Amino acid sequence: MLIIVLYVDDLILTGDELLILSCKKNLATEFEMKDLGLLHYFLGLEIWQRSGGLFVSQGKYAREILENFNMHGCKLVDTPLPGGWRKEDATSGEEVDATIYRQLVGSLMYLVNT
Amino acid sequence: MVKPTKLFWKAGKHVLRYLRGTSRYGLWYRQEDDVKLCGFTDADWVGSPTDRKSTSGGVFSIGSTAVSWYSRKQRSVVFSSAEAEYMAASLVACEVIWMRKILVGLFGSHLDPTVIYCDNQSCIKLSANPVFHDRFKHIDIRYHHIRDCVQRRIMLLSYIPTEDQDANILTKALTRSKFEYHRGRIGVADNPYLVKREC
Repeated sequence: MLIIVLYVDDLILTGDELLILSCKKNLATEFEMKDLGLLHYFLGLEIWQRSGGLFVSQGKYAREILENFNMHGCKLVDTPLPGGWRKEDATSGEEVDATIYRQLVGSLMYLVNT
Repeated sequence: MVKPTKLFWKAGKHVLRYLRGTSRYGLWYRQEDDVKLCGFTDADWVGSPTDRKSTSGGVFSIGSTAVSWYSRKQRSVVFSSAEAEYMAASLVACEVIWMRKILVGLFGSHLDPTVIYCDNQSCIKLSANPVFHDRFKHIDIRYHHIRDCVQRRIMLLSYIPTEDQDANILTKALTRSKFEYHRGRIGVADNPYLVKREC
């Protein structure tokens, strides 16, 4: 069996080794293609393929967000939400720059949704 | 989003702080013998103090690593935790159907009913027994879809103690130890291949 995943002009092939090879050959005669070898980066996902396992991470994009918000040297915390945080407490108080805040939320949402 | 306050900004920065410590983390899919689709469903009851709505959380794993997950605020207010769980479970039912379609499409094999773990006994009973319960008269037909799924052997709800309920992580803020325990159980880990190389 051979599975082809197509995203705009990127192709991922998976399945039987021999089928992959012959499929690549056939496609190359029909289209102009570049073989990037084993999948290691796709749509912001870093993929590590090793024998016995596969590891998927978004580390690169996460570090880009940190750079953008000048947080690459910040202190570390263990959980994403501070304990006892209540939304109602946050609805009043000093306002901050809405544009930057929205940029932050947008970047984080992209990270979560991909 | 219209008028963000300092506290919201602080919470946002807190997420970045968390992100910095975990930017190397990811999902680790290990080669396993027993690879099966299973799911977890959970709900927090009236988690939102402003409108008293609950949050549904769910996570699906193939083998021991998560492949699909969600955390969604429910659309209507509920009276009991069992009801909140029931609504969360109905969301799971829709996901199960979709995921099973993909699996059958890819591998074409026959699938056993998908086991979904839930930590609420009344919710499980409710899903298995199509009797008209007095206390659940008001629940919309749309949520009873789950009973249909159970009867058609697409899925079944099974009990799991709250401590091992991995979907818990998607419904509310947890303490550090619980958070890390569940995070590990859904297959999130520091990059194992990177660590080895540095040693």
